[in-house]
Amino acid sequence: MSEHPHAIPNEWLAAYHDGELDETRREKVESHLLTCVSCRQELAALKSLSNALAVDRLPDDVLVSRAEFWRKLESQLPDRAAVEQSPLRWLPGIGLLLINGLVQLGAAVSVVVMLVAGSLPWAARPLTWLSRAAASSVMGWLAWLLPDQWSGLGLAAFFVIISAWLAVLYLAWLGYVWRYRWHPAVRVVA
Amino acid sequence: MTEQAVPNDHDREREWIARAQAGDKAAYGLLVQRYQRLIVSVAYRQGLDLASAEDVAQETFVKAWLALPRFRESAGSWRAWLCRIAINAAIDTLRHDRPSEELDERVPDDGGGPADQAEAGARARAVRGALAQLPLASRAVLLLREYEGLSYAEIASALDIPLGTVMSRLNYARSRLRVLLTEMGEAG
Repeated sequence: MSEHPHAIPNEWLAAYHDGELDETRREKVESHLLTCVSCRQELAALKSLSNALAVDRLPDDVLVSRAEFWRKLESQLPDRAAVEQSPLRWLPGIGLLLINGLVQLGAAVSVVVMLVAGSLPWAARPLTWLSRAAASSVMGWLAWLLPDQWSGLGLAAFFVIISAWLAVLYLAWLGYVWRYRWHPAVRVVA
Repeated sequence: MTEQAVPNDHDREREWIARAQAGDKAAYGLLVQRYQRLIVSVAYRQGLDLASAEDVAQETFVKAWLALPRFRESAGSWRAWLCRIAINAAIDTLRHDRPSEELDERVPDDGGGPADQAEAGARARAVRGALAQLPLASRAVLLLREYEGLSYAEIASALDIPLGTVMSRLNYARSRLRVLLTEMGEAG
């Protein structure tokens, strides 16, 4: 806190103007003001600034009446108990987790299929082509680069990527609920 | 005979908050009507036009209603909590809409004639222009203090910054504003 050249820290004068000083400091400022012309001028400038700002105050007559504002709001207020107790509020999150579980199961199955196909020459060809076809939308180029007995990796990678996207969606949903439903007052700017 | 204490304004408000937290909409209505003007003004000061500011105020009170059971006074005042929700909601709205200049001619009617009104309008525009030149962080502190009358502690809570930062930003904003208004011939 910077010191005023005379006796009181600079911030005290503004805090005095804003009514934010405790009694002891207020008394110190008041006794200082009796003898310090420059502080009196500074205080007058603070008051003058507040007066200048007051010209842009929001006029009362442009606002809707309190009763009308409440009437409009009341109709929008949800039944909080119903919202809090409804099992449907968790549906997006649980749904995403379930789908993600299935996708991961698919990834595990595809790895097992790849291993089985790799050990059975007669099964390798159709399964390899199936894997390549299924994976072609996302990892097809990778699947075509792999040896036949390993091309099931393309399908596994496809499932892993879908799973990662579902995880991102789940985290986004969780963030939305946390930020907008539970803690709307969390800071967004300093 | 025991002497019954008369509840003061703060006690009454705490009672309304407690009732609203328990789901009493009528108690919440009392809180809304008390803070409607403040919240509309906070949203308006973020750069919204009045209609958008009123929409943001409605949205603020809906969000506050839903989150009310999680509100704890120990973490900050009710007024600061509401202001913070309103500022967040206004910023979200501003991300989608452009700030409005619609209110440039809206000045308090002090009962003067057309010449007085024109002069008041010019002064209000000058003040608005000077405020717009302040850095966002300092401006937010100044607006909450000068227009909404929040205490330093409430501003710190509303903007989630330390008390010392509130004081330094306020001092900076005032010094800078004085320079800007002097340049525009509006100071004092």
